[in-house]
Amino acid sequence: MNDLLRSTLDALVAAGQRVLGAPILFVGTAIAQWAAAWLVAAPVLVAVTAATEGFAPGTRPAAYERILAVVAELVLAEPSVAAVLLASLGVTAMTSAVLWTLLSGGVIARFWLAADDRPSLEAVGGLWLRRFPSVTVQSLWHFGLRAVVMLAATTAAANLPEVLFWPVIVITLLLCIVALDVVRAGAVRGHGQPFHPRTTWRAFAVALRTPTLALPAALLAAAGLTCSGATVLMALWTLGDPTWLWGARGLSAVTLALGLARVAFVTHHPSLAGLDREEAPSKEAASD
Amino acid sequence: MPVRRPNSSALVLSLLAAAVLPGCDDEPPPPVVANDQAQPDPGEALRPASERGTVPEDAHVVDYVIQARLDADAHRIEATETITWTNRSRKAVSSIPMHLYLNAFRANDTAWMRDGRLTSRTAAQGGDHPWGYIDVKSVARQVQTQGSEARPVPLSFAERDEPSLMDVELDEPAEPGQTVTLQLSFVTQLPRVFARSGYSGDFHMVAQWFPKPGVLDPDGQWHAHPFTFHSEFFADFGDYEVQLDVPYTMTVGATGVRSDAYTDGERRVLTYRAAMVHDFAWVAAIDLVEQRQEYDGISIRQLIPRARVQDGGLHLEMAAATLKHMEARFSPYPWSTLTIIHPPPHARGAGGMEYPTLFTTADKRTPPPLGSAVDFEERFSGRYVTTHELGHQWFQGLMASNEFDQPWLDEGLNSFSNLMVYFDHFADDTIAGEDVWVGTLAGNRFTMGDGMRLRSFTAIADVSDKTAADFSPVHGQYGRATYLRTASWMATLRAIAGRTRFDAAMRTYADRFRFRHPTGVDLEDLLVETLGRQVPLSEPDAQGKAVALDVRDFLHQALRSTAQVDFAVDGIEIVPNMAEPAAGFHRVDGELKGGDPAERPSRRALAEAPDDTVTSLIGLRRKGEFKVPVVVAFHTTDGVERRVWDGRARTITVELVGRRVQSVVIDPDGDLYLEGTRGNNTAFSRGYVPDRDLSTTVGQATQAAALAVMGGLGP
Repeated sequence: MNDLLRSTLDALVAAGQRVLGAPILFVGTAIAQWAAAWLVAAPVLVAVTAATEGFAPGTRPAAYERILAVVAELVLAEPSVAAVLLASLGVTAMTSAVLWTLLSGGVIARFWLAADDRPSLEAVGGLWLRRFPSVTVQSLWHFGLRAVVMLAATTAAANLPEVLFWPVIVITLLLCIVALDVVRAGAVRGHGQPFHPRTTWRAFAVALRTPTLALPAALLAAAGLTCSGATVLMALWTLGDPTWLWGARGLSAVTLALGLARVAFVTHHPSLAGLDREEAPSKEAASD
Repeated sequence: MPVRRPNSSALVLSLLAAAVLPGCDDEPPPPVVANDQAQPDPGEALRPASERGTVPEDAHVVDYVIQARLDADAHRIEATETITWTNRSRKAVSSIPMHLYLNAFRANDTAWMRDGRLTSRTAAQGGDHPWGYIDVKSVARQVQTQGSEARPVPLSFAERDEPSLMDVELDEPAEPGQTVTLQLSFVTQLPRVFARSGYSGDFHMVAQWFPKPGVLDPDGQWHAHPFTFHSEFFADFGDYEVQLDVPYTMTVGATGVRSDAYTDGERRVLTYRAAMVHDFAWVAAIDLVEQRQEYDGISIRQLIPRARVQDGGLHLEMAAATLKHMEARFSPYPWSTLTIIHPPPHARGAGGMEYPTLFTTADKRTPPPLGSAVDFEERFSGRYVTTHELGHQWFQGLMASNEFDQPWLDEGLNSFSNLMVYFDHFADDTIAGEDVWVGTLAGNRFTMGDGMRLRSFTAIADVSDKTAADFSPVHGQYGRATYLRTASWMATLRAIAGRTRFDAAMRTYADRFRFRHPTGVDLEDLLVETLGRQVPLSEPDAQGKAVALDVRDFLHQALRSTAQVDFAVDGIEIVPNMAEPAAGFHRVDGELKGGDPAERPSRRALAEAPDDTVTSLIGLRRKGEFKVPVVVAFHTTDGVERRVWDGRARTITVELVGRRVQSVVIDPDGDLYLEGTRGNNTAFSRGYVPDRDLSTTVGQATQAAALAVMGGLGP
């Protein structure tokens, strides 16, 4: 057990170092997310401003102390505000899922090629483009399989004692996140059959069979999800306080760092060879 | 009647308001006792006269003696009934209309079913035994002549085309003051419960189950209405003695006190007596747990499914609180018992309904996952239903208005009383005056007043003062017009006319109309009488004009119009004081003189000018049709000035010379519970707009949500 903990800690430290070793990737992505969030909020801001200026021309009502009633009144008076808000968040979710599917190969390539020295943009880009089809196809297979796994877990958990329901759901979700990392990293590294759904399935098996992989990666995933949840909680608790937004931005950066660390950790884990039936190709071969 | 189920928008508000989650009751549930009634009921159905107050003798019109046997497998009741009815009118009566309420569920072409379309509340008609009815087998008049035994004289009777009514023809007219004794035998088939009365599994909610005369007014006019989707009930006061023969395994709860009980083989025979009530309902079920509590000599008995026992304490606490505050405000509770029934989940159609000394409630909602992480708490679900249904013991258990003709008079007044009970019960934890919170989310509170005002958004399509049958379920206006608008205007009138005076007026109403059948006109006349036709709201101004509330006009708008209250600040302008002498040409000694150009200061110069050199012009608008006086607060650099605007003109301009206005707030105390749109009540002068405005707040929250989404779906 001590060995497992020690190796886990070592691996997490190494993953953190890899994230710190890619400052442009980290900082650039964080700023891009902040900008995207600002863009997403812009239509909502405009809609609310328009709705409230309609109340009293030339003035804007304050978000006075009973903010719940104020927001509820706004939504009742102008249901389109709620529609704009939900649509913006929906677009955010869809865009985020699609973009990460498209970009994940590049992030993994960046971490894989950075094992020894700072990789060139051409090398990272080249590997990303070569593996792009297989990473995309494996991601799509994964999402289909994830739906099945989550449905099965939900059905099974519903028959368990109530106290076990959410733990089962959360653990299954974490397993899915790790399995997605495994199959994408494997695709970039050239492990497994690039377009076959069996590789996706094997990624689940690898994650399940390898505690030195699953445990740290799941912990990082759980920490990331907790930070995301904390961002929402912070927004709720500080509603109307203009100073808290930087707190939310900071939490989102931490969430991003944890996610990148998880990807870096999985990318370099030796168990990815389990996706193959044959000997795993060398790094040089993969980076050709 | 039942608390209206919230619509979807109300549900969203409920979450904000939640319209609703678990309470903060950490106290242990009261002790659970055995299945059958563990403690005896009080000996008398009425409390002692010193506690209950006067019961007028002339209110006592009709007595019932009923023997009923429940076939729990067939969900059927075979019964005999003796009705002793006295003609208290000034005219002779030759026929008696009787309600057969359960016949509303006999076929899909009844008045009720035509409106209800086989559904009601949260349930739909269906399953085994979907239909319910009362099948009257015989009616006879008991005739007793001097020196002979009483003998029954068969009477003719016939259902009307609408089968929820039948007419019994007397063999000879009942003269004024004469008492008639009728003997009936009948069979009641319970439907699968979906609209108050019926069965589900072994749970039997037996209500509106026996033939019942209409109400005869002093002029000899009968009030007996067909049972329609929204209409409820109307009956005279009297005493009941009801013998219930049920399977031994069943627990029974009923109106009144249990006076006798014995076992007969596999059956249990229980006798209940109730005094000065206008209905009798009972429940028989297996596996209901009994909980007991006493409040000021009133025996409270709660029957609750075993799975919900832990919530029992919440309802008992709220029942005791409601009794306390309703008695203080609306006269004493006259009966010695109160029974609270919790229908099981499969019988939700029986929930949230009132009967004399007995009501059905609804369960507290389960808190959402991680609710505590966001400080999500509510004290509305479960609690409010108990308060609401118990409040009906006054409106219309005691003040027995005609629920068919004027449903607002019981539902609306009761909803108003519920607000008062919440104000009183949670008085140690108030927000903004006397308002109290019913929901919290992340430290932000949502109040009873917020909920009432916000729901006023939707109460626009129908007037309150109309019969229940005139409300079509298609329009969804019944609850809004009867419950909500009435409660809102009453709370508004109370706040404007003076809380103490209004509370005294309502106490007078209760004292005057206990055990009576008050009408809306009675209430309106009483309010005008006690509050005064004109309620002065301001001192006379320089022209000797004072603002006053016209109570009659207010009531007319509230009850017989769909006018909404909505005031707005149109704008605020800061201009230079008028120069002395004024610029321009003026006629002096018959000639135009002057003509020098006026100075037109820049906006910055105005902002920096001394406050006493500027004039504030504030445009106020009455956007809604409802005309009601309103307080306006002008926040200036030298303090706050409050003025009362009579609220009659469409627009007015207020001019404050030599004063710089920072902000203007219409109805700063939140007195206008009828006003749904308060966002336009506040406006700020340029330079005084706060940083924390609504658009920034919502925009920042959206950014945070987007960041959370991106983080959750990130690498």
